[in-house]
Amino acid sequence: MRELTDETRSFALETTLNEIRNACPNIQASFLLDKEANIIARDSETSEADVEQISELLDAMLEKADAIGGLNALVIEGSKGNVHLSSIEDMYLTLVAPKKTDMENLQTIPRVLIPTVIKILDTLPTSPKRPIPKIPVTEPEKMEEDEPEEEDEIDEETSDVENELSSTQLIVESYSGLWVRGDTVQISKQVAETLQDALHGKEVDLVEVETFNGRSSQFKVKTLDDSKIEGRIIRIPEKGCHTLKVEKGELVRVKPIAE
Amino acid sequence: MTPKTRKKRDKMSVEMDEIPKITLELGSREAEPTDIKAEKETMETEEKAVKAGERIRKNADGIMQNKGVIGYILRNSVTANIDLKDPTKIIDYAVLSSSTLEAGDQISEIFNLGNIKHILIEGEDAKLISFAIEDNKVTAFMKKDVDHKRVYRDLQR
Repeated sequence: MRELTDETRSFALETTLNEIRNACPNIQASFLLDKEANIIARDSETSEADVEQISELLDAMLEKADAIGGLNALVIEGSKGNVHLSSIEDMYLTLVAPKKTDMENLQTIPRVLIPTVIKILDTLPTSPKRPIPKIPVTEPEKMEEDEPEEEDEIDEETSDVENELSSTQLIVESYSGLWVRGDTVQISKQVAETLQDALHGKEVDLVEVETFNGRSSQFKVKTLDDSKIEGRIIRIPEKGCHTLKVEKGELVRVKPIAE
Repeated sequence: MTPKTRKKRDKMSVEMDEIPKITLELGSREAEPTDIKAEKETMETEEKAVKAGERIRKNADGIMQNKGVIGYILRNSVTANIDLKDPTKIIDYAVLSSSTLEAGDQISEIFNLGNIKHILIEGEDAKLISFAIEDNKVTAFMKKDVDHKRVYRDLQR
């Protein structure tokens, strides 16, 4: 099983720190650094500049602390507040609290919650976040063209079936940028051809993206060379991901829309 | 302008020039007691620091008898006392001691912690406690199982 991306881990740990801070309002700042003093996560109230400064200071301290067998914990007691840095798993948790706070007590929740979250994160597979069926691209079934007498009836029935069959399951990748159009998704030529087949060879300009939670949205289509995008990927603009409530690695159904 | 009036003006300007000279003299007269006062204050602070330093050194010599205490570093602007059971680690411990106090000051500034009472660092093999009294900066090194709070109390007595 592959490990989750750093970004996902950071996001999960940031959320955990925010929740800890909600539960313990005494905490003035909280953040996690790795054992090389790189920033992993900080709660949303803690200034990034402050954490960066601490990261630099700690980086300088780490080497010098070799004299006592490395750095396991650092406690600073001041006249107005305290700083407690302690080792949790392979990280340093830093908590800042006012003077009279019972730091031992304060550390109880983070010391339980953070390792639990890490354990859960370690058991989760990386992208895709949901298991993907092994069909890379669903080939739409071609309808038989015989029995012309029942054509009308069949047409109604088959159009539903066709709709179902013509949908292609793709993996979401979000993209953003200054020149990104919020109404356009990007797919590979391979996927475009598959969708085109479902429209009996008509060019696909519009698709409907449907999530497994039932949310759907229509997007214009931009086809990219297969060298630029993997066959099973659909790049949805960040705004679109937000509307659909999908994240990178999730699976969506993509259906072509005949204009 | 007549020559008479010009002469008058010249005289005035001379007189005006003389005024600041007097003020300067007054100023220098006033500065004397301030300097003495400041000097006295500095001397008193230094004396206090020396006395505190002597007291801490005595206390530090005392804690060196305790089981598990590895050593101490005490320094002020004038002197430095180092007593370590393993003299080969003097440089490493001295560097760690000064960076601990420096880092402590900076962290305190970042998070507005006020005056630092003490800094504790725990490693895999040993731990240290650092603090400053007057001008004296002291760091005591000890094994992990030693009660650092007691060491801190004993040093501050």
